[in-house]
Amino acid sequence: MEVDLLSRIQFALTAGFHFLFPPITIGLSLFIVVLEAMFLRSGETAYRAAAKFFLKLFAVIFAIGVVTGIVLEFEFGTNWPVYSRFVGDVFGSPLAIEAVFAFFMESVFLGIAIWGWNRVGRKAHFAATLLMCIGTHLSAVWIIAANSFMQTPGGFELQYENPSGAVEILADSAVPTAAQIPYTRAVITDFWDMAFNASMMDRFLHTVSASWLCGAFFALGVCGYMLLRKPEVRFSAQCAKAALVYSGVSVIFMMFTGHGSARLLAQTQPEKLSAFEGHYATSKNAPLYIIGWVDEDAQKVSGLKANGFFSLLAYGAFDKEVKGLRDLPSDEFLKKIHSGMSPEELDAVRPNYWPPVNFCFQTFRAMVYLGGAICIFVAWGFWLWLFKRLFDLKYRSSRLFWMAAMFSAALPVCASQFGWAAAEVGRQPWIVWHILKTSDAVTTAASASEILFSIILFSCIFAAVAGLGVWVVYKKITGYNEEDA
Amino acid sequence: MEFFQILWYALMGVLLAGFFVCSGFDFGIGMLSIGFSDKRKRDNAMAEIAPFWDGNQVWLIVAGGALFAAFPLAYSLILANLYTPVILLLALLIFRVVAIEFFLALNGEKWRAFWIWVVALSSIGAMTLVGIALGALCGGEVLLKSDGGWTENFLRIFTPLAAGAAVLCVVFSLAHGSVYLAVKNSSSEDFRRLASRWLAALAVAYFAYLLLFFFNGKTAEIPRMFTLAVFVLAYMPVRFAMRSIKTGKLKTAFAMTSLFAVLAVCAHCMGAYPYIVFPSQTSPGVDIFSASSSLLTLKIMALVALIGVPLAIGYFAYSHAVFSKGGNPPDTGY
Repeated sequence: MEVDLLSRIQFALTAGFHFLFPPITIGLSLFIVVLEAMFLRSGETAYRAAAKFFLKLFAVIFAIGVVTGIVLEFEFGTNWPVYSRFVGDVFGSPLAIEAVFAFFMESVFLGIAIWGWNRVGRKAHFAATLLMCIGTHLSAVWIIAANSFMQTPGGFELQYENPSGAVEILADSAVPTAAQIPYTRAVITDFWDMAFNASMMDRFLHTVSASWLCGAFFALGVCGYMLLRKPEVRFSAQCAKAALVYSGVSVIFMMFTGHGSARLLAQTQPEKLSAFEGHYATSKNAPLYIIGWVDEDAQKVSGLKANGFFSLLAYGAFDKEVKGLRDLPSDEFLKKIHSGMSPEELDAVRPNYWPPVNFCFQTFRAMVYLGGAICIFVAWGFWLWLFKRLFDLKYRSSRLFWMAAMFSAALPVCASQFGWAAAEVGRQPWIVWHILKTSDAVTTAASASEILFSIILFSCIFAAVAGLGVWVVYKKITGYNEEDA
Repeated sequence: MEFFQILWYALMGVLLAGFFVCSGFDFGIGMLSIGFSDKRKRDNAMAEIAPFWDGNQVWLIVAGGALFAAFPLAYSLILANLYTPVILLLALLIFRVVAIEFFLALNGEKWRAFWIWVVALSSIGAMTLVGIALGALCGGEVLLKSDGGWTENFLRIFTPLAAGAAVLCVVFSLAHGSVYLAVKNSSSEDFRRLASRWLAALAVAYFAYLLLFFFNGKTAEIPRMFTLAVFVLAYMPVRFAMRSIKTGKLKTAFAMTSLFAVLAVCAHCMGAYPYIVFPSQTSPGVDIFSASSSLLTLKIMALVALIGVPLAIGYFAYSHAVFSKGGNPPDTGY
């Protein structure tokens, strides 16, 4: 296999594995802060016991998240050196800022939060947990700023060093040719425009609300186990209520931010949105497929559709025109790369600038439907609560709910994975949107066998880490003993 | 522009020194722990690093991020050319982190006996690779690939100087870690003896490394005498630390091993200046002036470092203050 494909596989594997953990820790950190705040307010020790317990689980998940993240940081250099050199001036700074401002904060105060219960006062401990939580969120801010630069680059200019050695600045929105790439780099012109680029805020809010859901559902699942199997544990009910409220707030937040992100895509990355919907021909009253299959060769989608709803989703009205993939990217854009081509020739090369449509279509749907399942589950919880059956385990409905809660902890994590896959694969063939192609950014130094070795190595390690990590967390939950706390 | 490029070169040194001062002791204690036949002693030693190791390794992450942001060309060249060693380093770091975390998480005796071995071996392996990378700074044709095969590409990094630096890093961690344990268990004669022994080993290893550097190491623009002077100067704190252990000034001893790390990093940086990748027959090398980011990025990053690094040092100081009162409670599983 080629270096290009292997590097993509390697990055998908490591990034996908990494992204299992940070959403849970981000969500859980805020939940622990809430628990401790409630302990401070009410003085009820059950909350403190819960905070202590969840911190222990947090620590295991956090450690795996951190170390798989280090892998990603260095992979930009090992596998994507052309990319790193090209955008280093822009992309390196959010990563470095993340490390300086977020990583020190979260990991040092995590140490204090876990080991310092008997060494600092209540309020100091709360402050440590709060700083840890702020740290995890800051880390999300900067990593998403960096990632959003790849989606909607802004606040930079392209400097090209021509063969005579003079540096010229390429025109706005120019696409450097393959010959220019080794001598071109993106340079910051405005830091805030770069960091808070067009899609950053929407993507941050959407990712963070999804992360809160991951944390809330994790907590709900743990509480479900405690309620069913360990009735002697005091904090279960109170903690479960807090987790349910937390997931209720997050789910509302998530729906709004999800819709916002989709609407923004229509403006900033229309190819991606049209790929999500398998929308080939430009039309008014564009259909939204409830379920379907994209035949990429015939450029057709077969399935169950709701006419006009895609227009409604993207532009807020049924009769709005939505550009299809056959018109995306536009002729003007393609002419920058293929100057002198006739419109027919442009149509022929256009599919090279589409992401894998069916993959995007299906992963996007998977994310949305899992989101729907999350909403239903939360509604179910509130329904039981309303009728005071939530903790009355005499009722079958209550037992069933908590049994389901144990397994539904996986729902938001899976949704995050699908959403992330859709967002990143939907960006293809670009590594930096409309500027640098992924295939041009890959390493020329490493050989295919080296990369294959790394893939095998990481697969084995990740399998072991995942298995053992789950086992340790499981042991910590099942072995929980009130007296130890 | 030049000012900021040199500043960032110096800051890279600061971050590396931060890594050795902070992470050195937890790597070292990880290695030492397999030597403790007494289980209580081993568990207590691991409990000493429990609140800190996670924050300590951030220095390495920050150094990586800073290299990316400040010298993207060097970052991409070095990492792409050192593909397999870097991947191995990452794998070893993963092993180390999960091993420490798993060790602390559960109490079973077999469980702990297994994970302590993983902690120790991955600590040795990771420190070795970090040492090789640092040694390669001063003699760095190894940083760039030759056209040899896969194994040749991997083995090429083990030049005498780089291997010497690796040994030095491992021995330093052991010495630094044992001194830290002596500080934390000031009443115990055992730990003091252990520290003296490893400090003596460090003195010998460093002396051997000095000879190696004298004959093998390259220096660039800064006159060789200056670099060698700092190298020799770095020997002083080691001797001083040995004396402090004897006289019972344990904290001074720890400060001295830390100072040794700072001076040794400083000497290497001086030797390599202004190169990040040393020139060789096959390549003109990469210096900080051609590899750096734009002025604006360097300025922004300087501001970030100016605010962020003192803040980070503050966090560490606070954290150590919190955990300095007495030893950890005996129940080491959290």
